[in-house]
Order: sequence, then C-alpha cells, then structure tokens
Amino acid sequence: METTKIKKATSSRCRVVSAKVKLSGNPAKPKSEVMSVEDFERRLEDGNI
Amino acid sequence: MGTFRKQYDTQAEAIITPCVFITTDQLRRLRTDSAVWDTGSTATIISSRLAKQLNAKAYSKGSMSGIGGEAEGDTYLLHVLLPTGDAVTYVEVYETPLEDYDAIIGMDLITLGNMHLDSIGGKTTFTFSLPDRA
Repeated sequence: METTKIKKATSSRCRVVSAKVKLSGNPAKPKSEVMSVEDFERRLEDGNI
Repeated sequence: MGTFRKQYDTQAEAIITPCVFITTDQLRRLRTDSAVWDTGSTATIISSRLAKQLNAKAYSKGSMSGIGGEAEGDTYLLHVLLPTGDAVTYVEVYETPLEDYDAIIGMDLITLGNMHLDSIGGKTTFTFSLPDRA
C-alpha cells in the first residue's frame, strides 16, 4: 500500500492597507493648522481654537 | 517643529506609533499606541472602536475604495497630536472598522512633513519631522 505524505503548507498573514478616501469636501470646514503641542494647548485654553 | 524617531530591532513589518485624537467640539481626547503610517491611504482613518470611545459626533459622510472594496461611512473633524510633539487642527478623518490598528495616518498628514525610512543592517528606523513654519 502506498502512502502519500502531504506536507502542510504554512502561511503567514499578509496585511495590506490601501485606501482611496473621499471626504466631504466641505468648503466651510475650518482650515487645518500645524503648530507645536504647547502652542495648541495655549490656544485651546485661550479659546482660540 | 519636532522630530520623531523610532528604531526597530529588526526589519519592521509596519510603522506603528502613538497618536492622540481630540474631538473639536467637546475636546475629548484619546491616545492610541496603534497608529499605522500608510502611504497607501489618501486620508487619515480612525477605527470604529476609536470613534466610539471618543464619543465623536459625525461631521459628514465620506467614501473609501481599497483592497476591501468600496464603502461609505462617517467622517469626523478632529485635532491630531503627532508623536513629533506637533498638533494638526481640524483634520477630517474617515471612520471604518479596522481590525489591526486604531488609526491609519494617511498622506494628508504624512505630506505635511519629511518621512524617512532606513533599513541598515536589517534594522528599520523611521523618522518623521515637520519643517519650521514662519
């Protein structure tokens, strides 16, 4: 009797992240600004954000 | 503006950093250590789990097409604190169920700065810095 041994395939999970995102495009959206966290916290306290 | 550097002991499978998201209305904030930097994503995305924890109010609707097909979902207007020590205000982010990460830092934020990836000796080093703004 012939026995066939089947090797179990090992696989690793491949994570793929790719996304084309469409946002609201709302022209009334407040403008994004980049600043240091210190400036951000100060402006937040002053109510300027 | 600051610089963030993360050195891995091996070849990194993904660049994952901390990040803080703040709602623009109630100023609720949430830090995650699981934000993946993805040049394949045109915009920044948060997981449904993170949106729920933030109790964020939807700003608008958006749509996404990618590996998993096409979908529509809510967007949120958030302030984002990057690991460089910089803040980006009023970022519109898209919400979708994410299994592996809490957030995806997309090209909208990545292109604000300079990203560098080194793989010397099989060890990955990720550097991101934001230029000084006059």
